[in-house]
Amino acid sequence: MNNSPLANSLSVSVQIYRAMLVAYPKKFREHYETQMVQVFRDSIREAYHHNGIPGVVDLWIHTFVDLVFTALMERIMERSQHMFSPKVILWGGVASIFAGLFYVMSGLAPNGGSFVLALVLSLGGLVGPYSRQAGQGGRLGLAGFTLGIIGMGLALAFLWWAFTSGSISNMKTDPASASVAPGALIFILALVIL
Amino acid sequence: MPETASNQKTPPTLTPAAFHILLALADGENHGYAIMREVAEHTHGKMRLGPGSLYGTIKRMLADGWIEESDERPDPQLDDERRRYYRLTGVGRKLVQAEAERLEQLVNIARGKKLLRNPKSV
Repeated sequence: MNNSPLANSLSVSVQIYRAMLVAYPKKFREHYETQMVQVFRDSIREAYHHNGIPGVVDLWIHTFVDLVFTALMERIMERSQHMFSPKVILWGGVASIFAGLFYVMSGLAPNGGSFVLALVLSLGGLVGPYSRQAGQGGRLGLAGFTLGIIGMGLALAFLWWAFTSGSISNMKTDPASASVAPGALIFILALVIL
Repeated sequence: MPETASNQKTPPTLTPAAFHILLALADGENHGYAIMREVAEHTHGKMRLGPGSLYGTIKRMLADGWIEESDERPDPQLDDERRRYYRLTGVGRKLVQAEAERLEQLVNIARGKKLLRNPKSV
């Protein structure tokens, strides 16, 4: 491109496009900003040589729409990837522990609030194993998932012990202890997962 | 661990953009702008990939192991050395072949039902 006013205006177009790339996530920009600007520069030159100003306007409209949709998509994807980070798995474990505590509390002093809270936290705790299953958890997630499996084995062993020692049959006659038992199991399981 | 085509039991569904990019790379490695132009040529201008669509799709295909970045850089005399070149991996080639065969089967069905205006040109 030479230094004619037209060449300068095309150059300004490229600068504007470069500035608009801020709409993409930082990581995406780090990888592809140079390439995208280069592709836009090549495209705008070609559009001008083939179709003049209308070609440039048409390219701008198309590029703007493309930028809005793909920047939004990249941001959504980045956010969803962040959701499955090892940190989320860790917080899933914390949620499970508190769920266990609230189950125990709802068993000791029955009220609807503790039970609902425990239920919500249990669901939150499920995010950990789900994230691991989704294959996005990394090494920390793998460790948490493995511990979770071990914990599940321990919980089943505890249940078997409670059943064989007669604790379960006692629970049938004592509703309060029946409510405490699942909470205690979840609490132990969550501790092991964490 | 990114899920690659090799460890998936069912073949992944290719988006039109991904299929056309794989098709553009079937002849050999190429850079982004050349891929974009080839896609526009193949589709008679009906599919225009913007830079965002192009590199968004390339990013996902790199992560899935369908394409890879070539280490070779063009001769600075002939081309901009900052350009990145991409090429198909073995998985990517198998995918594009499988998709092309699937489309061929569909075209054959359409031909059998006399839905094609000019069957010889296909």
